[in-house]
Amino acid sequence: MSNQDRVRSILDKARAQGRASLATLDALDVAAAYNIPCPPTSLARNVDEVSDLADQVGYPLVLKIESADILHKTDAGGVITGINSAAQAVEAYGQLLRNVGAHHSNAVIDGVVLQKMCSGGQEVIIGAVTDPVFGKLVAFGAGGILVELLGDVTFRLAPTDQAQAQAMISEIKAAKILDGVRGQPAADKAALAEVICSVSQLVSDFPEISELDLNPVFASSDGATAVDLRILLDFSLTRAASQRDETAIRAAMERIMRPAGVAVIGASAEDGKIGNSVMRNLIDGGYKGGLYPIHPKATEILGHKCYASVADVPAEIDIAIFCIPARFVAGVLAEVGAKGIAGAILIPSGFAEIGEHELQAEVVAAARANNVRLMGPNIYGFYYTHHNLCATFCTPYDQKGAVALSSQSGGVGMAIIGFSRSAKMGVSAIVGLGNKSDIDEDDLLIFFEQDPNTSVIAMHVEDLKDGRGFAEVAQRVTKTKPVVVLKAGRTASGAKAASSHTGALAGDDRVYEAILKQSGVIRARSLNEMLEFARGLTILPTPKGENVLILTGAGGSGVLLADACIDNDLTLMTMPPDLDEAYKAFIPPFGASGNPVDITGGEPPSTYAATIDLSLNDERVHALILGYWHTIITPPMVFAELLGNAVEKARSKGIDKPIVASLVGDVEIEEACRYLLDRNILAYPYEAEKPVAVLGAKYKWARGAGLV
Amino acid sequence: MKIKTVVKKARAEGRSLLSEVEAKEILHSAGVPVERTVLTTTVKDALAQADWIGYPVVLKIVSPDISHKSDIGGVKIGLKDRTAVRVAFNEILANAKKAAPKASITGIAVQHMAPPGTEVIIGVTTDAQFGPVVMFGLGGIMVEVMKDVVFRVVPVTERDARQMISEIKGKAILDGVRGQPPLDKTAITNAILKVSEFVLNNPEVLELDLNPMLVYPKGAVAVDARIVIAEE
Repeated sequence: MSNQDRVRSILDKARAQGRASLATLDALDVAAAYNIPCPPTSLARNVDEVSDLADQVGYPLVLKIESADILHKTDAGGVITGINSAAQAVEAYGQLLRNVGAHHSNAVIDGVVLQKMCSGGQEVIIGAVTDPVFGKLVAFGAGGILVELLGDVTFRLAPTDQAQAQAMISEIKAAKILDGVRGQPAADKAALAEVICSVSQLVSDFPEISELDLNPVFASSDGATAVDLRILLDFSLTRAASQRDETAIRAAMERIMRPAGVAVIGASAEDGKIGNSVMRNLIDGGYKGGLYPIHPKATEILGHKCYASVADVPAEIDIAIFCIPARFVAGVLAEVGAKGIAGAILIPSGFAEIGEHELQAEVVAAARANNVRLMGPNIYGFYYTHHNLCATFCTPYDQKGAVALSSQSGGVGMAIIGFSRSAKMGVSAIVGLGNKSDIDEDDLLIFFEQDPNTSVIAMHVEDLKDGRGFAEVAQRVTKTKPVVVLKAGRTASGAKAASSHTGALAGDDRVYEAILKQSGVIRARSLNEMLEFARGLTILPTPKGENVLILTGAGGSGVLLADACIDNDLTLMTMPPDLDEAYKAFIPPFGASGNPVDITGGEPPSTYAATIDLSLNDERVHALILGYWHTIITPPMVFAELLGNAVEKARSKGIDKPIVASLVGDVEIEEACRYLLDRNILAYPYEAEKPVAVLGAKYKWARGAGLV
Repeated sequence: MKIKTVVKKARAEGRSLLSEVEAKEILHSAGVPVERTVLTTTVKDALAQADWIGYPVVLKIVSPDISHKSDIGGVKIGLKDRTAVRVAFNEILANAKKAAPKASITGIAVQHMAPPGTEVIIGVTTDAQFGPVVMFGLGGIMVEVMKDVVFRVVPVTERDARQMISEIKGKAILDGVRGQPPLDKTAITNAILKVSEFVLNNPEVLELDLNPMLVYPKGAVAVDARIVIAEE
């Protein structure tokens, strides 16, 4: 029998018995089939068997109660360790039954498990859970009661590979304990990684394994042994078939984002109506394609001929923007489908967000039946600037650029528009996803991945419908384009009460944190950070190496900028002696060379210019952080102009390295920052940490994409 | 033993590190709960002290030249009776002579062996800006790897001490987990207060470590103590 068949037959037996967890010996058989190392173990059903088996198993041994009714054995007094003889084993057996009787008087006891005690090594936890958003996940964490309380654990999508497993081992906070502390030798990390991979493969092969705990696993210098094993079952779980047809998604999204014809269902001539705002925005936004207001009676709205139905329009239509009340939406979708329209943009609210799940389900069913993709409902609409498309009731937006943004909430959408306009951030698209009844982040990623007008994608996400799908697509997209995610709502991804340790550890933001990281996504911690990252990532070129140099006119700024580098995982370049000498030639003797290079406050423009030139032209400097402070000798605009000129000169020679500038001083620095930004140089007034965080985000992405 | 006497003696011998016996004696006098440890120089002496302290006991080498006592076989634990003490005493001496033939041996310390408990650490360090500060944290890998510790400037009030105990990340362990009863936080609070008082009254103390202190559902006791004094 193959290993998979062995597991299959054990699980089938458990299903027939109606078990929610595997008996210890069965779980051990499953572990053995997947090469998960466990110590020698036997089951004794009575006191005579205890006495006989103790000698066979070997000492010291541990006795554990075996009962399908007792999940947390230790809590129930169901574990006795350190048994050194058959006599002690018999005594412990009696004690165990008394302890358990006191806690669980009705529990059916199948016997006791005798297991050879393992000693030495560090305790870790390896486990698996079934996450409602991401599906099967494998977990690794530091064990021991203390670390368990801190929830020091990380996750990956299952199945995973050796490299990811090794990354898990090194990314927990207590990773150092595996390198050997208190005189212990280092643990065999390859063996641990092997167990992580085996567990991840096991739960992927058998979806009915809902949770699995190896707790603890003893990691020593010569291997890893799982001394306790728990496998929980849920036979309602089945393998999620991947149904994503990316070619079809791309084709539909292409038509939706760059439509040749747009119908506005519920268009209105009356000011203040949504159907009027949408028409105006399409017209004022400069949309050049066919525009078809749909209205039962009107003949013309805002100069465009009206039709009673999309069926009457004598041209091809790609999207229909719905500006009609929720209850009428499903009815209209049939004719929209019949017309061959690719996407319905559902602006109306009144669906799942207010508990009208049935109404939303009806709309989704109608869309599926008619082969129409749905955006929304409950959204402001969307923008695709390179097609002059403002399919929204908000305000038109025309600042074209390379950032594509999406939001799950209308309020956040407005914040995006306001920031973008104010910060002069060019965008390619702004998309409202609302209730995400159909189109979600995966679809957008698939479109933006190949959209030549988009180079950075930023998404505000409250929840993911299909986390696994998102992670799979994001893993690929982030290799070529940065994806920034602001995940709102950091609580309860797994609301289900967990019965395994791993499950309990998974029930919050940690899963999102780990999987987004695994997918190469840059996680923003605030709305402003998401927007700043989005803007900065498009402007900054990709660095060619890890050497970051700080050049500052104020020692104080230098210290703050250097601190921010540490917080953002940036590496301050070790200053080569020849370059150090070169800087020294320009700065006063009381200035500080090294890194940060402090040129001191009273320097004229020529010192700034010379040291900036030096930094731009030296190939060993891969990224530059500038700290400017306002002086009379080098006023803000003078600094801005000399920096602008230096960068322009360097760019004309083909030198384009990431530069961020922190300008501090009186309000004139705001104008200097605007001047620099107009020249594609990221400059921030009154900020030291933000420019460094943005540079840090660029590095994070570039490392993930294997570019640096 | 008066601290002034101990400090004078240490300084006379050019030491800034007090011996474990000295440190525990003066801490005990100051009301800090420490496992009493007595210096002995002969087997007979050791046996008498062990009888007086009560078994099981621990024997440790005391030598200004040997800092890592366990590594050279200079510590024997779980000695349950007179025979065990006699054997251990001679073994420790032999081990020490073998590992460090030139070391000067002050004697062998006899200490009551505390039952297993939850490890915490209480310490004092003298900060250049703030002067003496008291530290509290959970022991073992929590302090070594996770750096789960908190600080307060001396003198600490009872409210400070209670806040320290509730500020550490692993505080849940003190409330009792996995079916364990809650631990005696009042005993920890008192120990922190006594340590604060001790360093306030004795400005020559630069550093102090009670590591580990074992905490029980009732009571707490430091099983090892280390004190560094300022040079004259």
